[in-house]
Amino acid sequence: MRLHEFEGKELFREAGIEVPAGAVAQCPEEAARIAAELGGEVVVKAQVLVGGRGHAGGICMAATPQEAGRLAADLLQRRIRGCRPEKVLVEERLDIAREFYLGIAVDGAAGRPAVVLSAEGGVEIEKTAAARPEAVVRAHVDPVAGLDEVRARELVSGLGTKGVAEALCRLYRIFAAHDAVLAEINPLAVLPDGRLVAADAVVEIDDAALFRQPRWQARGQGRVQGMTFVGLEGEIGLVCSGAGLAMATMDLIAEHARPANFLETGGGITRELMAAAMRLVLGQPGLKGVLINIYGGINPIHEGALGIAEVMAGGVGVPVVAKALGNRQEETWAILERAGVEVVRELESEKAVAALLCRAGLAAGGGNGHPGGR
Amino acid sequence: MAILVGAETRVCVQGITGRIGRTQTRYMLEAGTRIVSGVTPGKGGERVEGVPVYGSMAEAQQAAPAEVSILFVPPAVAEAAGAEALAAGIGLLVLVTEGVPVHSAMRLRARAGATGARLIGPTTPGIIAPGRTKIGIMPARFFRPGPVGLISRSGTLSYEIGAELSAAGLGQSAVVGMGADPVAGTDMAELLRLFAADGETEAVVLVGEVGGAQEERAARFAASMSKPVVAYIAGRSAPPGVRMGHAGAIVQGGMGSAAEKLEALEAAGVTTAARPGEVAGLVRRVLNGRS
Repeated sequence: MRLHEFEGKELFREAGIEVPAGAVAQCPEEAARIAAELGGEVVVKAQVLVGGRGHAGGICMAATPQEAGRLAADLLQRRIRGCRPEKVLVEERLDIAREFYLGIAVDGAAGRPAVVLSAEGGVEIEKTAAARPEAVVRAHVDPVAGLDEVRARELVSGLGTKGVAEALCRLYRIFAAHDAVLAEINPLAVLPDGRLVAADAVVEIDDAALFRQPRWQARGQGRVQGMTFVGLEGEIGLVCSGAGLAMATMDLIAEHARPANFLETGGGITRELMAAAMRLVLGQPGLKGVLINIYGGINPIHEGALGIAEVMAGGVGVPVVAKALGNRQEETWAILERAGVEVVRELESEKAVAALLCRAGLAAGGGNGHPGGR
Repeated sequence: MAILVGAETRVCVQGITGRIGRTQTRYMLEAGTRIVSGVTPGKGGERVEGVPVYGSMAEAQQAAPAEVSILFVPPAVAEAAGAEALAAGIGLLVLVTEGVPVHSAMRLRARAGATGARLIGPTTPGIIAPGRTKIGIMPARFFRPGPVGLISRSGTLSYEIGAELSAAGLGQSAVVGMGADPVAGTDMAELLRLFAADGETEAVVLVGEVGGAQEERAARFAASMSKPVVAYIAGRSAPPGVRMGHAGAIVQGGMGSAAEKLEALEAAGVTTAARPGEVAGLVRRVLNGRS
């Protein structure tokens, strides 16, 4: 879950990382008032959770409070890369002498936090790293011991500016304490008097850790626990147990038709979850069929089958084909078949996909394809 | 002994008194797993499927020492339960729990590494050495003993491909689910190294998916292997920038796509399958090609 810039800056301020003077506004009048308090010359920044906000016109300079109000009015009714900002951040303009990049992210392959530093901030770090790898310092941190000042000083020694090591340590403390998967200051501005100020803040919190992050818990609510649904633009609905199996099944469908969605149940299938999954998938427009591809390992698929049957009993209007294998599969098949679901008893997902496409009139070769004929 | 586990491996089940812990304990016992203890704080003295339950890992290890612990505990206590097992001398943690915070996974992996132990998971289906032991949630019926090592990021896809290998007469030395979270306790390259060194394994199957760099790292190791490797990658139709189910499966900034992974694997001499159903045929072919 990504935080807004102003939320990230609240964390920075609390941790002792200096941020520009400013405040958030939800209407033009408020923006003008904040600008007047800051002396007139300000930056107005749309608070949207998308990258490339500056390039999309989401960051504007104002010379007077009136102009700040006008710019805020404009930003608050625009879409920045598809996102409508609910707030703008109005901040003092900084006189910047140099810009650094400071970032900490989870390095999945190494299983450790990775610190990324560069004396060339203000631009996309990936581009700097690709063009001039020597300009970027990367180092891993022990997730148990954390990052102490001695190590931080070693890492920043090439950057030659006072205070960067302290800023890095403070950023690491935020990263660890808030269960962040990414904490980034880009740029960390060096002012002519030598002060370091975080001009931007990108913080992303691990969704799985929200249970122990009370401050961010409310923001994460509304996410459906357990299952993941991604709407796509096709005609074949999909219910799968396991993300890898769901993607593999999508890939097979995409050879001849278009998947309408990705739906992964997770390992907590119940009758209720399966009924909710079916209703979610069947609610999509333009559907020509639904494929259920599930395994009974940790999941009680015989219980899930009752949820499917419950939805089938209400009438669904499109063919539904299921492949359900594993613990208690025979019981599952009996429930599904009684409910009007065509059960494919073979191992291969290819055969289940072919059976559904055939029933939906979408089979390769003009609709007379035979299940398992590939 | 296959990789990591064998018929003699003694297993503890943490979270044995929960609904999933009980059911899976029964399935594991039916598959022949030597479960010597279970642990649930406050439930010492009970029995689950005949297995004695202890209140702590220390008590369990005192009474009936195990080498491996499999965890069916809630995500909020997974890190503490894993650390307790490591402190009690467990050498291999199999963390089945879904939804473990990534910082907890990183710390647990580091703690295991520091004591010379190993973590598999989180969100892993576990390990099965068919015919010997099953320390996981995968249905035993899909697997047969044999010469193929199988490593998978996806649990259910490992069931499907394992079952297809079995149906084709290609049994498995061991099947390991790495778990598909952003941080895996043991990564694909490391598991590949174990299979490369295993005398009973003649070929290895890698089942990957979009996101992260596991397959690319495994490809670098595969290039040095003499045993044949066959790979399948799920998610070639996955749209970029969208999380496909869990935080690990995302094509971001052009990184981690199926095409990139397949290219890296093919450049390393790995045989790649376009569909899961092709894997068994390709394994047969690479094994015949060798003899």
